[in-house]
Amino acid sequence: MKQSAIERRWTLAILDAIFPRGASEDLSAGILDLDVEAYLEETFAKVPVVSGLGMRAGFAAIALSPPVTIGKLRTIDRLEQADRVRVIEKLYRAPFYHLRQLVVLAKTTGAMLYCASPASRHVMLGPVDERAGAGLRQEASHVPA
Amino acid sequence: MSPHDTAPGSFPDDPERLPSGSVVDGADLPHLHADAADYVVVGSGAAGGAVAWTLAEQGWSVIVVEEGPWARTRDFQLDIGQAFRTLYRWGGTGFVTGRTFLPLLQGVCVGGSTTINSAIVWRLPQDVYDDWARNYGIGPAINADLVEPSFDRLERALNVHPVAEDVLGRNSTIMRDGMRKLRIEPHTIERNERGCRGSARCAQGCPNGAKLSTALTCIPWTLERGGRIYTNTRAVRVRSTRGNATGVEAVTSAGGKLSLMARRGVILAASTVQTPNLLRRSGVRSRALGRHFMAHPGVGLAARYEDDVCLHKGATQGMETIHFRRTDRFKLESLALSPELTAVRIPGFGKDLVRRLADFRRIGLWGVQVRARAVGKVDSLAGSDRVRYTLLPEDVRAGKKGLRTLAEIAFATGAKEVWPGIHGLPEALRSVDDLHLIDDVPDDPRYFMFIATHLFGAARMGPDPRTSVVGLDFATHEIRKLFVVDSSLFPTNLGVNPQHAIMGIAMAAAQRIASA
Repeated sequence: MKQSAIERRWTLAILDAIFPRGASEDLSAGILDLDVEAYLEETFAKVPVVSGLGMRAGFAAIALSPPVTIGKLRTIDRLEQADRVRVIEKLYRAPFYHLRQLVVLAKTTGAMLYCASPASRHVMLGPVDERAGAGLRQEASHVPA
Repeated sequence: MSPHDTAPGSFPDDPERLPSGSVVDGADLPHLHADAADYVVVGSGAAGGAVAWTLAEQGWSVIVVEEGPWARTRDFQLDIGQAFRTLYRWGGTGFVTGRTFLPLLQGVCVGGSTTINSAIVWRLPQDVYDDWARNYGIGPAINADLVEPSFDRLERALNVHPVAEDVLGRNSTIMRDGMRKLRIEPHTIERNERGCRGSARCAQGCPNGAKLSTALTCIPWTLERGGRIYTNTRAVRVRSTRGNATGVEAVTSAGGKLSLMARRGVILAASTVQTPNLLRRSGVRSRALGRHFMAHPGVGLAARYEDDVCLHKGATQGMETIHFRRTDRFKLESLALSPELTAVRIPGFGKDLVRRLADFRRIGLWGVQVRARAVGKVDSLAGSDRVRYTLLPEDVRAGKKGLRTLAEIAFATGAKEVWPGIHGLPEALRSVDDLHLIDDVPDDPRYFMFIATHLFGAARMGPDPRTSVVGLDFATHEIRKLFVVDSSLFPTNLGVNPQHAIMGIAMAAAQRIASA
């Protein structure tokens, strides 16, 4: 299952609003500095059809919400960064559970890429082995059976 | 072979350490294929692994059918996204639906959820034995005399012991300190592992082979005793003749059809979600099938400290308390997750979120596990498994009290901010004086971010075929020699982590099945 070009543009704008570049001195890279296109391709290719449809609908609903959330008759990709964040925050505080879950979905989807990047990991965790992680012990413990 | 003689860089699931021909990958079977054994076991997780190992030890021939791949220890990576795609059902995108969407995380790989859980060990509590005997009439099948010897054996075989002090990690020791200050009795989690390095990697599959999942223990032990496992192979239905189960029809991921003859019986251990639907596809029509589903919904709470906590250093779960299990129906646990999974519990978007992520080392995270009274249903929709379940107000109240207790623990240990993750509350609470706000939240699950953990019921055991699916001999009431041994036969949830109970009961079931 693939997103259309316009859906992809909306998705990138949403993820950019949640994980922007230049937000912190340490964590200066944004999600758009990563290979987000390839990540989305892989994600949509591997999730079950129903989940993929749900994700597409979720991103589309967020993208089309600015007229309702902030009173601007534009899709999210045509907004300034600050307005995009306002849209996301408004939805997250919406009285309707399903609207709030749209934002949780977008945040979770983006976090899987953003937090997994070596650059982000280095800032968040310090030096870690890409296979074994960090760990408190270098060697395995030998607890008697 | 045992997990104890693992040489550095070598793991019991390395293909070269398994008997030749014992693992048949369905991805390599595009055509019709047939096989036969005394018993065919569907599922290779806690229940399937334990039952297969027990039967193989007694000399019976066993075939195990596993829907997922055999993901090898040497291939496990840090990337949780990759783990979701390779180890988790539906790529980790499954949900329990009702008034809320509860993420449903199940392993679909050799080892099932024992590959991705935190290896927490609890024997079946005595009050649960008593409840099941008194209120559900299953005491003759599941009682301490029959099951406790299995626990003894498992604990020796799987090297069960408390998390060692030097791999607890600060997230767990903070929780212990806070509980002591609040006079809540802490308990160091006991796990089945050997050689834990405190990498906080349980959810991605242990890269060090320390967690003794069934993929490293029971399944290799079964194969050593002549068993075979078909991976990437999905059981479609159980075949029966004149009311007796005679085999399993399955499809491989390469599109091949697999016909497995079972001379003595078919044993289902496919999980609380998959077993009921497999029974339904196999002709079981009990009115109780799919009903009585229960769970332990979980909800987390994060906090920010002035100093490093380092969630990524330490046991994924090291500290817990059952202090409130009987009085308030919840259990508290430390919970060290990767940044990818923790991010959703960190408040904010845009610059606020990224700045908090940059401070990830100072974040602590713990969870509440509710022994919910809510009951749901398992069925299928358009061929896909479906679970419908909604928490009751009393379950939400238990979750709220658990969250408030965790917040008190956090402030008692110097947290600067607590992030409750509750709709309608400020994103950060800054002192114990703010905690009354949690009490004031409506008892509505839509205000919280629960996930579905630990699943039970939906094919429950009982003496009466009108109200249960499985009889006291572990066979279905309707089809002889078709057995269920996973937690779908449990009449209730437990209030403690179920893996060990599932394994012990499955081993006791194997004894009973083999002697029939």
